[in-house]
Amino acid sequence: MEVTIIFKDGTEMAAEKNGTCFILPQKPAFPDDLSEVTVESGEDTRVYRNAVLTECASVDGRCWFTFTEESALEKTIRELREANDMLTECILEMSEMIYGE
Amino acid sequence: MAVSTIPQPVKPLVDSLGARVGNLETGATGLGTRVGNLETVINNFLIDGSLPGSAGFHNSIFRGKSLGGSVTEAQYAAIGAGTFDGLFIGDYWTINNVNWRIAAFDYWLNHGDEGHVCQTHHAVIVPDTCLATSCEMNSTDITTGGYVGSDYYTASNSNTGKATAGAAITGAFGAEHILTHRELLTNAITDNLASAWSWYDCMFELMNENMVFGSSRGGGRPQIGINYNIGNSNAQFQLFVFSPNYISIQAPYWTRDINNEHNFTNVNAGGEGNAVGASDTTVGGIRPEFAIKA
Repeated sequence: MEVTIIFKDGTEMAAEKNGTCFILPQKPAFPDDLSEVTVESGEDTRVYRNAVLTECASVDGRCWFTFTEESALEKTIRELREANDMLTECILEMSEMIYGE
Repeated sequence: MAVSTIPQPVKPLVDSLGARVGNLETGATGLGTRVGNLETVINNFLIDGSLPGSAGFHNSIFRGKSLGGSVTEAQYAAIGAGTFDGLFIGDYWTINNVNWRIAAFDYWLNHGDEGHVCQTHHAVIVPDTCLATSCEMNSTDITTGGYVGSDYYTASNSNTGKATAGAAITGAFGAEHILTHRELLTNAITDNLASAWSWYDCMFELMNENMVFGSSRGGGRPQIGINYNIGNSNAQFQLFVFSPNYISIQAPYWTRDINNEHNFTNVNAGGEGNAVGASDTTVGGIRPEFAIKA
């Protein structure tokens, strides 16, 4: 099934849909902003909000990928993890500055 | 008390009872004859295959009979016609020292994505033994890319499991008799779970847990991961429904479900569902499913 993937910045990609995967001849430069991704087929339209891009296994050299949506809870957990990682780095850097190691 | 001495008012009742017993004996004899006839009919059906010709009927009887050392032209014709005459669940051919056992009929009929729907009658076969041993799914304990991304599936990193199994299957039945059908297979992992699937042409694949157990066990974690593992192969094979002893073959074999980012699932030597690291060669057995056609 042929579909059109439309990103929030206006980028459009014509792709083949197979199961939950989309397939392109080669890996494209995906836009950074995945806050809204619309997939249109001749039959229906699906909108992914806060989309997460997952690259899938390729068996033919083409680019296989899929989108999932990040829930509010998943978003919160991700942001907490990122904040925790940043704080850990800060502590390690301060430790190096103080103890010289 | 002799019958002749039975008081006159009671005698008619005794006579009537005697007559009824006589009728009962006659009835029982008739019933016995009918049961005998029924047995004959059933035996004739089982022997000459004159039972209703449908996958549903033949899926509902376990027989477990040896069918010899090759599939006959008549048997292929019965499969092609979808009548499955003379073929029942558990029946098997012994070819190249392997028992190839019938596990289901028309399992994937009407399955498939647009333009690829299976319309070919078929008999699903599962070997009694592993076609390859000491195989790993991946060279390290990862499940990146799901089943489709595994070394086993792609024959990467010197993984010979799939090639070995394929050679055994085509050597036994001939490639022209192996059904190419469509199955939904996992091809991505996110947050420790299978997270995507696609339709693929399949000739033979590792079984999923649902085919074996009728439910997801080692891979059975959050529902979304289970869904991707099951795909369209979503019913237990009748072989394992009617005779669960065929699940365990006293040797471990891989199933294709994703348990987490490190483990695939398997059936271990004791017969229980398990999950182990993808590079564990001690699991290693390749016991695939496939289907034969006319």
